[in-house]
Amino acid sequence: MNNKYLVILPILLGCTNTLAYEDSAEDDLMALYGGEEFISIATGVEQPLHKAPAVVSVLTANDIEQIGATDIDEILETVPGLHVARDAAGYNPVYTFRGISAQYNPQVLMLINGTPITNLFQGDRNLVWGGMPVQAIKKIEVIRGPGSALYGADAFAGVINIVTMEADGKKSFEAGVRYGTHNTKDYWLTGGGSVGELKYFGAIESHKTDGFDEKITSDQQTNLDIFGPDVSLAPGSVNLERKNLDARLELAYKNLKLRAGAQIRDDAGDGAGSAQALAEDNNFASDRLNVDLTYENKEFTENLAVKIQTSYLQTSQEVNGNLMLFPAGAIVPNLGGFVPFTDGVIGNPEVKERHTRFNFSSFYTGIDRHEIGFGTGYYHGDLYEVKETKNFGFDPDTDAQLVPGDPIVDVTDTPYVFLTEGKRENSYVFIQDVWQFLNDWELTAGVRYDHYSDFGDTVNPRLAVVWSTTRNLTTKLLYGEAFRAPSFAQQRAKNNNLVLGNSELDPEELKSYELAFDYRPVHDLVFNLNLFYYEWEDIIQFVPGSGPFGEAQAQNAGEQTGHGLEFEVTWQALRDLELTSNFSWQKSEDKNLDADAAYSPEKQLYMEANWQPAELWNVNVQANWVMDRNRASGANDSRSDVDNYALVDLTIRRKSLWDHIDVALIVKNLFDEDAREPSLAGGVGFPVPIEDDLPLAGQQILGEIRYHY
Amino acid sequence: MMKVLFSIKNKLSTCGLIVFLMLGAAPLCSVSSAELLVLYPDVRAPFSKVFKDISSGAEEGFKGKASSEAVSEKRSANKSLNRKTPDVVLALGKSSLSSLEKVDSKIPIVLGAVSNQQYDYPGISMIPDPKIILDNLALLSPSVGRIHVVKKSKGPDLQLDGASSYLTSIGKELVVHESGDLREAANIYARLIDEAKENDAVWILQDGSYVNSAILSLLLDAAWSKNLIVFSSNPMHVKHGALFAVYPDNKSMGASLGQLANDVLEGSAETGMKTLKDTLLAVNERTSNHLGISLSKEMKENVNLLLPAR
Repeated sequence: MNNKYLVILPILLGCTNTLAYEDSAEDDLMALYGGEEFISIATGVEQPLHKAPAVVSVLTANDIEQIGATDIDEILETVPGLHVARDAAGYNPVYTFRGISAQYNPQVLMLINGTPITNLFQGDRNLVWGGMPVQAIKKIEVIRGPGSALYGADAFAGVINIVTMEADGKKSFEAGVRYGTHNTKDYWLTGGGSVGELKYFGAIESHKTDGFDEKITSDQQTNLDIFGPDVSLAPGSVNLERKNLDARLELAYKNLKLRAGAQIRDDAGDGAGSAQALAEDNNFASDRLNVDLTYENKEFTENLAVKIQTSYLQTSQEVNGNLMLFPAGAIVPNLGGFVPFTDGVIGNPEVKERHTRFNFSSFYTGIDRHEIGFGTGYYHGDLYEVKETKNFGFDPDTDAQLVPGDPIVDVTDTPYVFLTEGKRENSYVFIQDVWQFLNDWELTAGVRYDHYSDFGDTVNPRLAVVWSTTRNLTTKLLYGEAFRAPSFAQQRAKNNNLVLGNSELDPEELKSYELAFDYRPVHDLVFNLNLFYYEWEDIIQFVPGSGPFGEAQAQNAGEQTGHGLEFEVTWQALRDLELTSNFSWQKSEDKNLDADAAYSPEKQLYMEANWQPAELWNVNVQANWVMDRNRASGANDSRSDVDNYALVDLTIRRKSLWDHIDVALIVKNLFDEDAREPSLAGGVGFPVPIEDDLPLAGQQILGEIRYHY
Repeated sequence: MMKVLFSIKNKLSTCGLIVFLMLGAAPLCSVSSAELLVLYPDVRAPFSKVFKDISSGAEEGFKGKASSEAVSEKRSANKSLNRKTPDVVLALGKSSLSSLEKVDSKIPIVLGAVSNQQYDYPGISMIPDPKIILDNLALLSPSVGRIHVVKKSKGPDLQLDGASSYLTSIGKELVVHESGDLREAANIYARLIDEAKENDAVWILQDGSYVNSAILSLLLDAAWSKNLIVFSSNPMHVKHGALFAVYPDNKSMGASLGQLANDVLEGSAETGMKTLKDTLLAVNERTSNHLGISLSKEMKENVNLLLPAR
């Protein structure tokens, strides 16, 4: 190198970095440790990130607190290349990675403490999701791109692993309350400690809201109203009330960990309607209970780390009262001819599932420059209870078609129910080697074999080369394959005039190529650039007319390719000011239609400033631009592209008032922007159900108080 | 008469001194029933965690009863001493000490969590013992024979005390380069890089090496391309590419301070500050890989923090 720069540059740059710290205990420690970040790591407040042969973002409890996030979706939206869109039904999140989007979003694997929470019914997190609060969360790891070689099914477009607070034996207690717009009331209590060698942590969180009440101007019923009087409730408000109760408990004793969790959802509104038609007072409930027992010994033998985990997850999707698919007076020709359903079209589908898993994994470091991983496991999923009552379709007692005005019949355990019960088993084995084959080069090679009781075998490899190119540049070249298991709805749906399942489905497949750069030109400035290309094949779609009676039957029909980039920069501009920004661009193509893929934003820009204007004060401003979302091509959707939007949020926090109290003011959508997520096209031959898309919340103001010691 | 009186007074004074010395030599009180009060500065997280860990270590290391209290502008050491009746006080940080020094009290003081050793109290500074740093270097790279260090020309550097003789005793050499300002230091580093031999290493001192972020970046870049070992007394430098640094093991240091408080009460404590021996080791795995230093199992057991993540 030209060492004259060693002399000149410090004079130009370096002097500005010599801060005149106040003479205080903090400054002594800053000098000693070299920075607050290291103090956080050295004292265990933060964990250092581990080198990963993947494109990973880690969101910590601190990140969550700084932006005033009250639900995981708000913090996930800050991840480059990830956008949280909405489905009309319940406004369920659609985690959209790199242009991969689908209504029920089964292409994203969500784990809580490493255990998948995927439901068999739709392959999502549950149709009555209801959000997830954040007070018990320690961190969220987000992998963009596939991860099936390690995680198996559905680690496809991305993986979201939510890690809850650990029972680390530290004594802690926090009680908090948050009130705000739309009659939102949150309460929480968390605490931890130890009794002898037994460590514990527990959290209980309650969330209740009337939900925002933005209006949609037309819905599916508006389209049907051409057959009779106007009975649509549009223009009308979306229904997003909910009552949530979340609880977590973790007990740790030596190498054993017992974790239990509950996510109870009640009075959960149906958003813009289960059939994209507004109806009054529709609401759902869901109980999700999980427990796992984990033995982990990082020094099982001198060179062997072992982890054994068994877990159980039970979920339900329940309807409170009657679920009105179309409102009173609706005329729905394919269900009841031209006679109105005076009580509305009612269908009450309910599902219960239980999932049992056993996993073993081990890592061996006895061979120089190698870390060899091996794992095996077994999964048993059981969709064990399907219930349905309805006032359309067939009467199971008479086999006669119901006509409008007939009472509700119970089709549970009859051939007329909407879905068959069933089981799925999966066993797998994986092997992986992380090999440092040269001083600055590391190769990760892994492969996982999965056998499924219903759709057979799949093998998914991955390769990653990580090259320490220079002191401040790391380059990664990644290749991975992934599969997405067909959901039971796609395999088993029946008695639905619109869609029909297909037991012959293959899993969806993905091949992904990534090139990633991590560049740190000077202290406190980090650039990341990821370039990607993927091929998504055998996409399961309901193809009109492909069923035996002309129904839209599930087929491995779709094909999509995509490419793009994600660029992010983090800059500690001043001691008290951190600036973060990321920009993502993707271009995905529906190969069958030879058209741009629909719904996902082609561009996203995120900017965040986190400022500590005075000791114990934190001010956070973030702005998120969501741009260029295409309509579905070839689906009879002539609407112009979805409007772009930019949302700005502000969070002001004062910590340690009277030592133990934190207060915060959180303003979401500060400028009351009219932001909308795309509503679905109607499909060939059908009009668009919700013309003006799905409105997001306007300005919301929340006040928060926490007491902790 | 006056002479006699003076003589008697002198004798009495001498006797008094002897009695006082005899008392002083004996334990001030029984340690197991003694009380230790730990005073630490009231600071925000994550800084507070450092003091909490030291306090908790001190409470464990002290044989008698121990309690901890935060000191701030509003809550002076005087207030704490009015409430408690400790037999010995452990002051953490210089602000706790200065608050304590304002109190007219005869309670013995032990000092900890300060970044220099210019105090007359028995205590432990947060400056790691250079022997520990150099032992870690020998463990990671036994072949290093010559260590260069740039030192500010004004004033001593405590970390260098004893380092030279220790290195000589183990057959290695310390080369100290003095610089008067940033520019001169930058010149020295440039020359060092150019002239560095295979078994050379560069040691960046905590406060005395005129290293700012720009110099560090250029130094580490040059070291990377020449496969030269750079280690630091500033743990944050490890994140940026220095091979390793040691940093305080706060809990263990607290226990040592608690033990020192026992010694004070037993009258066996040495006066003056000691360097820190309770340390943890941070290693940059990326740099060690680049240098071809394969971390053995034994080495990894000694490493408390492997950085960085990319």
